[in-house]
Amino acid sequence: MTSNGWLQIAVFFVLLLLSAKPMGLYMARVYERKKTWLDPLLGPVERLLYRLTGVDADAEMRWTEYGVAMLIFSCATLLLTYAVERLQHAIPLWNPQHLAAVEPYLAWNTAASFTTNTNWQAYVPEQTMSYLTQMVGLATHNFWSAAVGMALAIAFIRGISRRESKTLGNFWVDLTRGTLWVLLPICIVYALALVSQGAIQNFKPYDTATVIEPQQVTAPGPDGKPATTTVTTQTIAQGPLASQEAIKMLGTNGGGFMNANSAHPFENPTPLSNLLEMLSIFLIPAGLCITLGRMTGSPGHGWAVFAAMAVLWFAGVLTCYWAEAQPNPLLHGVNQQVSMTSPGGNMEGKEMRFGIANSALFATVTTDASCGAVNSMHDSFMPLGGMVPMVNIMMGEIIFGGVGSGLYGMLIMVIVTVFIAGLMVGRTPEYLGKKIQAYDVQLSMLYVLIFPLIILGFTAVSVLLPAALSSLSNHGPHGLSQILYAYTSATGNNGSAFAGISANTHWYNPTLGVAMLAGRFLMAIPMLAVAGNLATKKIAPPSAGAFPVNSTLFTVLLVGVIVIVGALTFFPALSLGPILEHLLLRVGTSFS
Amino acid sequence: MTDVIFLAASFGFFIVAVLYVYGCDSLKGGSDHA
Repeated sequence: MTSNGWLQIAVFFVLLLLSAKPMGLYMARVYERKKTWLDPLLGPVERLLYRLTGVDADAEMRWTEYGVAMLIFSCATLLLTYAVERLQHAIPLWNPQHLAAVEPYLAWNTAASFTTNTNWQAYVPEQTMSYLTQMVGLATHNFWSAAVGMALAIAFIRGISRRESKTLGNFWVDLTRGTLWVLLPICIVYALALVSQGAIQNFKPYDTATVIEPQQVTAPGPDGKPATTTVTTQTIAQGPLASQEAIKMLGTNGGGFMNANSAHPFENPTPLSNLLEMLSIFLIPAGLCITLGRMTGSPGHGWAVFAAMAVLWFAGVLTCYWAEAQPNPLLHGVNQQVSMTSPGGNMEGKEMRFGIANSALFATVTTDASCGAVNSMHDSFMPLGGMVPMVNIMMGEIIFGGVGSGLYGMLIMVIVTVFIAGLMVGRTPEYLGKKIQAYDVQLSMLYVLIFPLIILGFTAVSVLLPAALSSLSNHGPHGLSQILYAYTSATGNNGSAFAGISANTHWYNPTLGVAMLAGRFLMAIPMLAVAGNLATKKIAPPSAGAFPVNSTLFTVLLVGVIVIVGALTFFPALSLGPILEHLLLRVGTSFS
Repeated sequence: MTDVIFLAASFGFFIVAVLYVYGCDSLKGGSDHA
């Protein structure tokens, strides 16, 4: 680890701290339908959309109506994406490479993936998806799924802040305002900033370059026997990248236009674009903590939640940076120390442009949030370094988390924490003046338990199936890690991978698709039920017996509950995967 | 045929999810003893 690396991590956090408050206060105004400086421009667009779709913007919804509207919208957009993928070859628009239809298993997996804000990609985008599919099928989902997550979080905040109300707002209004007022304006400016750094934005056919030094490549020929060919040209993919890159990061989507994702110089050209991309992942999730404080009238609570997230983020980046800065003990005789020409440590799978610190920071940020974009390959991390992204997701994607989903996941943990604190002192737990009762705790625990059930269930079945095991690039504990990471990433709606696994198969495509849908919707629904129930309650005045949720003690207890729930649930699986791999690596054992 | 199966699976999942909404709602009532 170097002082330069720590300085860059510190700069990242200071910028996040400075941007969270204005972002959060702005979002509070947007969702409370107060005046903003964008109203003259976007107000007429909003009203036109409601008129065209027949939405009554003043109609309030019960939590069940809110949830069903969200499900209908998600189902419709999933089917739209599936249709676009399956028909892309027949649509004579923005398909200059004449790419074929996406095969059904992959198309469904991808449709589920983008609908749920996961953006798991079991394909090479530039060889599989036309420009039309990338824009109409995938980039639109990046906006919609993010706006859905934000709407759900706002509904939860209203559940806390409203007094004896049966309703949580209007899903269609929240969806529209989140898209128009928050995501679109930022993405327009952000995409232009990325273009200024060198990200491309065009509809050209792919370029072909003649390589300076022809390469001899040996690969299986048509008859299955090794055949050697001389490669003299290289295809350079093009496309409307910058516009997709902006929402990919801001919406914590993570699905790259290119297979190399944010390690590709067209997606992430410079150290400045790298900093912007990391900041934009956390911008909305961090801002939503402040929105929580503003809308509930308890700014201190918003900052207490922010602090819990920041503590967990720092623990992750510290561990990951430390692990990746260590020399690989199996590389005997290789100088892996920091020098003027080398960042030192484990550089396998990392970009020289970003080095160890910015790779570890990016990996931590992208898995704290449910983004899943990568600027280095997590599969190539040292065992403990690779465990950090996995553990971040296993915590429930609540360390700032996905846009909206991070906050509502964290608030479920707040309810569990308040409940435990109430048990400790023998009083009915209260959260910001609302009594937490059996129904709230039952539904919160349903939310908490569904997550490991999906991950560990699918992983357990997969390790028994030869068809699933044949997809692995490594055996032993690292192979288990590849499977565990895949289902953790899918269920947590993250989308990153230990990419040694070949997941484009008839086993992984459907099961990962189910994991993504279940991880999104079967968890969001109990959360909405809790919100709907909280909204109906009275708000009691603060009393000496209530546990203050804006204190340092609360932050410490919240972090403890999150770590204990995550550790107790997943520690056995982790001990057979990355922890065992780490111990074996120390004695010189590796697995091919 | 595969398309039909995936379309049916998608509809099936979301129908189950809608039932789950009302299932969660029906859990409320009679269980709170504040």
